[in-house]
Amino acid sequence: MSDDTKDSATLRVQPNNGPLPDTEYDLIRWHGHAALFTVLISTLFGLAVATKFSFPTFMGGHAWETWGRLRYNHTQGIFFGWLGNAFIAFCYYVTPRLTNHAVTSRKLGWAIFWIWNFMVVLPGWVLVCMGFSQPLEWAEFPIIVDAFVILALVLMLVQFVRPYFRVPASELYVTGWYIVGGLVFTTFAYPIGNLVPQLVAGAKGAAFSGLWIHDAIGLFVTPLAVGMAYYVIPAVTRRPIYSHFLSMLGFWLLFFIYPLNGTHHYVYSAIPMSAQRGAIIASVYLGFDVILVVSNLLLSLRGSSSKVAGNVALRFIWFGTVAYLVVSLQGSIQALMPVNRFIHFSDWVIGHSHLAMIGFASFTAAGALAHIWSRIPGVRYSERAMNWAFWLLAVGLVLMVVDLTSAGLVEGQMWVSRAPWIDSVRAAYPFWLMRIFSGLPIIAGFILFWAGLVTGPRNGDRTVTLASLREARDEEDEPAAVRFAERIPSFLSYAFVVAFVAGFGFFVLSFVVLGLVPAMRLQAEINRTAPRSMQPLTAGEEHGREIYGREGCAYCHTEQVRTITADVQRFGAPTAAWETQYDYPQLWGTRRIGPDLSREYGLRTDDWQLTHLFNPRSTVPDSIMPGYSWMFDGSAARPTNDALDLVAYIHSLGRERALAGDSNQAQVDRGSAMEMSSSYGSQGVPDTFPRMNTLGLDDSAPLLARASSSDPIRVARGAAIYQHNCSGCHGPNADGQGIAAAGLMPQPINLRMERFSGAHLSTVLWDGVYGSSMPAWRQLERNDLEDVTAYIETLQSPQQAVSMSPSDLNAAQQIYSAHCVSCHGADGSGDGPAAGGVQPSPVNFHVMQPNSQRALTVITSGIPGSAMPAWKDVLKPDEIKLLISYVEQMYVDDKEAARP
Amino acid sequence: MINIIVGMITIIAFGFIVLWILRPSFRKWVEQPKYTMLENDRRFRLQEKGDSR
Repeated sequence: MSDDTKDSATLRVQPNNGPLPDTEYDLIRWHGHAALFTVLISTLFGLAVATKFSFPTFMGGHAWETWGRLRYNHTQGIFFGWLGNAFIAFCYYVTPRLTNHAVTSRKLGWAIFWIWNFMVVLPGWVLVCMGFSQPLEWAEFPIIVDAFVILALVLMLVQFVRPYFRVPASELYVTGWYIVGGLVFTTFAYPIGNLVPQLVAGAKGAAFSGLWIHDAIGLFVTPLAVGMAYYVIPAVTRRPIYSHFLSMLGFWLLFFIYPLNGTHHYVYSAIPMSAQRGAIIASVYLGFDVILVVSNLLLSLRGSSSKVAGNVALRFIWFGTVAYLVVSLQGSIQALMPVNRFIHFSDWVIGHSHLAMIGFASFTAAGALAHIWSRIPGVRYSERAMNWAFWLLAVGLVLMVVDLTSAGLVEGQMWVSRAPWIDSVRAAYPFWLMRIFSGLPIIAGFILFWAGLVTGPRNGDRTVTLASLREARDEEDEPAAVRFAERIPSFLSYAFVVAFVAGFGFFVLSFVVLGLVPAMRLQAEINRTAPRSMQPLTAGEEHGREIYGREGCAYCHTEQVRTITADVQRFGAPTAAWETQYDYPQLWGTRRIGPDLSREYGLRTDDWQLTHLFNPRSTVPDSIMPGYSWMFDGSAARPTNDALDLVAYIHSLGRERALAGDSNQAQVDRGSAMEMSSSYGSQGVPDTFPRMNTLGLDDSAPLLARASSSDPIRVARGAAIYQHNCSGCHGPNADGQGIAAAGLMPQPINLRMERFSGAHLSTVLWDGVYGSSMPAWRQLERNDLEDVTAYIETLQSPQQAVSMSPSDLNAAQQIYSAHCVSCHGADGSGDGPAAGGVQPSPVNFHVMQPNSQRALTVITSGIPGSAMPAWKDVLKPDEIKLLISYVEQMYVDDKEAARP
Repeated sequence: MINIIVGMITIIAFGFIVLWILRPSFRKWVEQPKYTMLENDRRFRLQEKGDSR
C-alpha cells in the first residue's frame, strides 16, 4: 500500500533545525527501574499463587499470604507496577520526539512517579494483603487507591497529552494517537469500571465490570504497547513504517471496536443476549483489525530481518507483535459461543491472558525499554544480558501458554462430561505443576533484563563493532526518506480529535451500548420476574459476602450458572438477573477452579462448610483450596464470627431461587432457546443435579448394590474412590475418624459397625442425609457409586443373628413403645409422630442395623448433633440389652433379593 | 444496534480506503507523519550520541 521510493520522490523534507526539547531521562530511568522492581515482585506473587495450586498448604498460615490476596497483587502489580511504569517511561521518551515539545513539567513528573508507585502500587499491595480490596477483575486495589490512580491519570493527561495538542494531525505520528487515545479513554473508563459495580448491583454491575475488564487490556495496555511497536520498529530499522494510513485505520478500528468487547466475558449469562451478541461480533471484528495492524507492523520490517535477529530490542518487539496477532485471534475465536461454552472459566483463559500480558504487552514493553536504554546517554546497557532475558522469557512463556491451554482443554472436557468436579481438579494437577516450572525462566528472564539495564558498557563507550560501523553507514545513507508533505489540509488538525473522538466519544459509545442499555433491560427484566418476597442478605450474610470478596473466593468459584447444558446438569437452574439484584458488587467470577456456588443453599450443613473452610482436604481429600484456619480458634469446631458469617453467606446462595420455587421460567426458557433441552421439565433441572433430599427416602435413587460386590477388582476400585471422596470424614479405615470428623455433628458413621440394606445405602449415596454433613454423591458415575457400594459392603459388620424368647420380645417391645416409638415409629421404620421435626431423620431399623457395640454406645450416650438422647439414666442395663436385640432383629437384608 | 455500529464502521473504513485510492494528496498527507517521526528520531539520536561523547 505504501512505497518508500514513490513517496520519497514526491515528498519534500522540511528540515527542522530548531533546538530540541528536553527529554526527562531521569524520570525515564526511575520509572524503568520501578517497572523492573515491581515486575519481579509481581511475578513472585504469581509464582506463589501458582505453587499453591500444587501445594495448597504452601504459605498458608496467615491471612495476608492466602491465595486470593496474592492473586490480586499479582495482576494489579503487573498492570500498574510493571506495565504502568514502562508505559510512563516510554511516554517520557517519545513525547518530545513526536511533538517537538517537552512534557509539561519535570516537577509534575516526579509527582506522578511518587503517586503511581508510592500511593498506588505499594499501598495497593499492602492494603490487599491486609484484606482491603474489591473483588473485581483488574480492579482489585481498594477504592482509596483508585482515587490516586484517577489522580495520576489526570496528571498524566496534563503531562503527556498536552504537548500533543500543539501538533497538527498531519504531523502526529500514530504512536502519539495511541498515547492520547489510550490515556484519555482510560481516565474515563477506570472510574466507571472500578466504582460503578460498587453502586450498580449484580448482573447490571457485571455489564460494567465486563467493560473495564476489557478496557484495561484493550484501551490502556494495547494502545500503549502498539504505540511502542510503531515507534521502535522504524527507530531501529531507520525506515518508515509500511503505511501510516493503515496504522490510522487500525487505530480507529481499535478504539471503535475494542470497547464493545467487554461483555464477551459473560456469554451465556443473564446479561441481555443483544449485548452478548454485540460483544461477540465486535470480538470477531477486532480480529480483522489486529490482522491489519500486525500486517502493517510486520511489513514495516521488510528487508530488516537481520536487524530483528541482531537487535534484541527489535526482537522483543517482533515477538510481541506476533503474540499480539495470536492472542487476538485466539480472543476472537474463544468469544464464539460454541468455543466459549467449552473453554470459558478454564485454564485456557488463563493461558490466553498470560499470552496477552507477557507475550504481547510485556515483550513489547521490554523491547521499548531496551531500545530507550540503548539510547539514553551515559547509562549502562548490556545487550548480552538482554539477549539471555529474551530467550528465557520466550521459553517460559511458550511453556506456560501451551501448558495452560492444554489444561483448559482437559478441564473443559471434564466439565461437559458428568464426571465429578473434583476429577477436573485431579486432571489439572500435572499441568499446574508444569506451570510452576514455566514461571521460573520468566522470573529469571526479568532478573536478567534488569541486569541488562544496570550492567554492560555505558552508552557512548561501546567498542566499535562491525554492526555499529554498518549502523553509522546507514545513517549517512539516511534517505532522503524523511520528507514533508507539500500541503497540509487544515481539517482534522489537532490531537483534540483523537482525544475527544477516540478517547472520550468511543468510551461514551461503549458505556451506553454495553453498560447503560443492558442495565436498563436487566432492570426491566428484574421488575418483571423478581418475586415480591425477595429479601436482601442479613447483616451477618452481608459481612460474609465481604469476606468472600476479600479472600478472592470469586476467583475460583463462580456465582453464575450459565444457560448451557453442562452447567445446568451440574449446578442447577441458570442464574437469573433478579437473583443478583442486591449484590454490590457482583461476584459472578470469570474462573472456575472449584465448583460454582450459586446453588449452594441447602446442599451442605454448617458443620461441613466450617470443617471444609478450616481444612478443605479434610472433607474433600483432593481439594486444592487453601485453608482459612485464621478464621477459627484452633479447630473447626471453634469458628470465629468471620467464619460463621462466611458460611452463612454461602448458605444464602440460591436461597431466594429455592424459596421462590422454579416457577420463574424466564432464564430457563432463554436457556432452552439457546441450547438446553426442554426435556428437563418444569424445573429446568435434570435429575443428576445433587439436591438434598428433604422428604425422607427418595424412590428415584437407583439400586447401587449389585452382584458385582464380590468382584475384587470392583471392590478395589471402590476402595480407591472411597479414599478420594469419603476418607476425609469417614476415615481412611472407614471407622468414622477422618480428619474432618472432629468438626462434624453428628459425627460420620463408623462403616465397620453398621450394616445397611442395599436400598438404604443407595439412597444415602444418591441423596445424602439431610440434617447431617453427608452430601449427595449422585454426580459420581453410576459405576463409581456401585463400586463404592461394593467396597462398603465388604466393611460392614456381619448381620446380627438375633433370636429372642417370646417373653424377652414382649418386654423389649414395651420398652421400645414407651421410649422410642415417637421418633422411630411403631414398627421401627423411623416414621414416628415426632420424626417430621427431627433432623437427621430417626433411623429406620429395617434398613440399617448397628452392631451390638454401636447400638450400646448410641443408646447409652445418644448421638451428639442429632435428636437421639442418652438413655443411660433412664434405662437399666438389662433393658438396654433387650432393646438392642429388639431393634437388631428388625433388619431385613435386601441384597439377596437384588442379586440376579 | 450492533448491526448499525458494525455497518457504520465498515462504511467509514471503506470510505477512507476509497479516498486513499482516489486522492493522491490525501495519501501524501496521511503518510507524512511517518517521515516526520523518523526525522525527529534522527535528530534526537544525533543529540544523544553527542551527549554520550
